[in-house]
Amino acid sequence: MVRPNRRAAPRAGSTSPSDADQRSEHAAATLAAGRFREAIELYKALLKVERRAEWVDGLAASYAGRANDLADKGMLPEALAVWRNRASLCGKPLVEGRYIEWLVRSGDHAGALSAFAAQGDEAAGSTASEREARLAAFALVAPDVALAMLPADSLLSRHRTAALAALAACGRGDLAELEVHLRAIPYRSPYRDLRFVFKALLLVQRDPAQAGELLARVAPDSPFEKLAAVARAAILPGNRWLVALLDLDAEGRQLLFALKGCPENRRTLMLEVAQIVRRGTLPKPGEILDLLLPKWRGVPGVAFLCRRLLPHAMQRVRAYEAAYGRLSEAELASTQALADAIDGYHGSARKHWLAAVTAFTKERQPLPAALILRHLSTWRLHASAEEPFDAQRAAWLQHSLELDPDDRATHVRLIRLLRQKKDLKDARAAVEAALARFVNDSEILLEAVETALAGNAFKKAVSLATRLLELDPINSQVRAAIGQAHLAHARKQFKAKRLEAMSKEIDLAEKWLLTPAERGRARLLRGLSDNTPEATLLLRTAVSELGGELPATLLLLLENARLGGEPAAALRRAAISTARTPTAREVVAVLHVIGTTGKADNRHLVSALRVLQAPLKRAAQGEFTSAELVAVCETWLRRGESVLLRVYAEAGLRHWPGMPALVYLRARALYGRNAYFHLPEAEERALDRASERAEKDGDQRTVQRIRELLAPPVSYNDAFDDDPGEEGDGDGRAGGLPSMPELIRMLKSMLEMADPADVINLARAFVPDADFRRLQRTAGSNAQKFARLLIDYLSPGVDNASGPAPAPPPTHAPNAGSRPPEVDDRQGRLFDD
Amino acid sequence: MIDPYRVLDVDPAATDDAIRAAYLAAIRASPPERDRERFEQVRSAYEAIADSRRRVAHHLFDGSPATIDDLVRAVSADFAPSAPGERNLLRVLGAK
Repeated sequence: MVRPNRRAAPRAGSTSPSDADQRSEHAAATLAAGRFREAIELYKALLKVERRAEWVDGLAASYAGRANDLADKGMLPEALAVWRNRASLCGKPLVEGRYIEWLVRSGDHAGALSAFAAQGDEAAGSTASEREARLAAFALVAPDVALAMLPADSLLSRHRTAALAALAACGRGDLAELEVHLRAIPYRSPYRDLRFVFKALLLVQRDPAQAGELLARVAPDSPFEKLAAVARAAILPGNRWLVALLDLDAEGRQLLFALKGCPENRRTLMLEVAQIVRRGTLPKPGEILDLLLPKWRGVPGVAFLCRRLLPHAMQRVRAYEAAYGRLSEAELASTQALADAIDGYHGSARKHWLAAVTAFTKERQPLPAALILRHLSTWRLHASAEEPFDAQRAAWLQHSLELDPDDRATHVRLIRLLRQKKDLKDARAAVEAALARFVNDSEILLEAVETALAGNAFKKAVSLATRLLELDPINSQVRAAIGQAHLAHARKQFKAKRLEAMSKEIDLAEKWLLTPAERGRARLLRGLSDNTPEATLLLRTAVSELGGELPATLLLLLENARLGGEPAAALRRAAISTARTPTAREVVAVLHVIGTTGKADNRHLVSALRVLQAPLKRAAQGEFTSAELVAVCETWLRRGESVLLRVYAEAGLRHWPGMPALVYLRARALYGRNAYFHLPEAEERALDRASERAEKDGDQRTVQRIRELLAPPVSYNDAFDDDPGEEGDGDGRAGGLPSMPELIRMLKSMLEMADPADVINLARAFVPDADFRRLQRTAGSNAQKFARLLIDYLSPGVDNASGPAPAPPPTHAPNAGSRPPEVDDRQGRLFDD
Repeated sequence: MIDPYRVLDVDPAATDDAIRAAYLAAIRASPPERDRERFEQVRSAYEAIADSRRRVAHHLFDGSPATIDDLVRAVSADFAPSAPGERNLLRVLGAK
């Protein structure tokens, strides 16, 4: 606020003519600068000396400027008072400028209408029409006494009846009648915007897009802007209408609530919810329950939400029960179990889930009980030493099927699990149970075929497969399964030197196998089974049918390894030379062969890859894309082929220097998973740089992998076990246990570098319990001393112990799944060998 | 996951048929070529509550946190949009 400069307004009566001119100029400059309060004081002082017309005009202009300032700040009563001073002190007309607008805005309808009426002919023309338009909203609701002040020919009066009729129709939601009344409001009417606003209000639910188009035609300074603002809020998508709700005044909010259909008794709740929507963050579940349970529990959707929130706020169970009644024992147990699972207390969750199973069963609700057991069977975290997890998982699934036998997917899961456990007797029982319930189900039949094949019940498998193919003649899975089983059988016949039987098996296999690749593999087997020129020709044809390149060579070597043949002889007979450098495309195709080779063939795959190592190394220089090269490297990493991994990673780094994934893969090739103990400083720096670059590229996987590689192992298992999927290739440094001297060296370097707790943790795995506790007692609370004692304890054996360190004691009981499969007499009869 | 009942705009007590009808309507409104994300959302929602077995499982095991949208739906699911009302219109225009 500009305070009047009292020094600039000297006392009246003490002014010479030249002074007056100076002060007049000063006042004019002050007015021009927009310092209206100061200008008012200056002109008032001048007018006390002499009432010059120019000074009166200056004072009037100063009052007008000040009134406008106040009105723009929303201080309408103050603006009106200043404007009235302008009229009384300067002799200017009261009703001009923005006076009527301010009356309207301050809610003085009668005053505005009478001021409008008082203008008479002076107000004719476009300005009067604008003023009429501004008054239109108030004319609709003004009392009759105020309306009587309007000129008889005022458009406000002439179109008011039609506008009120339209308002009534809009209020009732009668669109047809509304259209009729709106047609009576012409474009030049001050009520013209009602034609868009009323229609939009009725279309907000039915056609928000059209409502939006209508609202876009409403003038920004329309007298009906408040109605338009409500309609605009109502058509906002999703929850945004709640945010807009808060920007409306009380009347606008009520109208919006009415449009949305919000019951009156819920509007205070909606305002609280609107505040939450505006903040954009949901309060904690407990706070929402505190908001909803005491007063709003009867709202239809609230019960469902509160029940959903309960596992996130178990301390509100009592409040929930007070609102909705007691939870049953099963409900309470399952809610607690879910709460524990959410919080990561899996042990407690498991306990409560099992309690819920018992309670649901007691409450004669078998379905939730069965579902919980199935849910538990998917957990892989809590194998206990007493009960191997797979056995427990199978037991849960079996129990769940007793409670709810109609779930086909569970039957399939149970059969597969039992088969994986080599528990073929139970697997067959599960197949029988499933087939009894799902007689002609192709998925169950396929499992039955696989189970029969796993138990070497070959005739039964064929009979089941035939049954399945009657239902599903193009089932390629069952055809492949039977065909492969025949081929497996053929290999056995070959090893037993029953070549005729073998040939029959291959004939049978060819009947089942449909794809050229599958049939080509059958021919490979036939070609390898004999040394005759015909067999050799067949072998070469098969290799050619399989593509004749590196993938075919790998398939040949795999098949040869299965038969126990010499690789060099097989390659010679097939006229394959490993001197050729394969292309990048061939190497990528080899990945597919590796990917489709079963675990049972792992040993054969290792030997086949060893034969192909030289050409594969040469192929590393091929024209790979970076994605292909990384995929190749990942395959070598998974297979533990560290030589190939290093060659390919280095080849890649020559093409794409510093590529983070390749830097990581190269380090893995050179230093294995325990790089922490072996990494030279330069390599560490390279990995750091790669990590930074991966971070920039958004490659979080590589960032994480590098972080893990650079971090010290946290336990013995982490330090010396590689990925379960990675099979050692003999020359990598990652696999195998460290030698005892290595272990001692490692412990000592850890003691120098890190907290003694790391040493204690690692040594714990090697020191018998009794000795460990004895040393712990000796060291007392001195961790450093305890670590040294542990190293000393392990050290005496170093001189004589160059072999691997003893394995840590097992943490789990042996898995029941590793026991040999039990023999089923029924299957024995079916075995056709 | 997002509350499947909210995604399909069905009541928690809705029948299989009602849920299927809501699902078909929702995928008609958002076919994959027009709005892949919404389509996937609708499909996941339907898979979660398509039949009573899945609904029981969802009720038992869904530990996903509620969202603001869930809260708004819970308190406004029964709203029935209505006519503006003459009195409401007049009050917005300034009637006492």
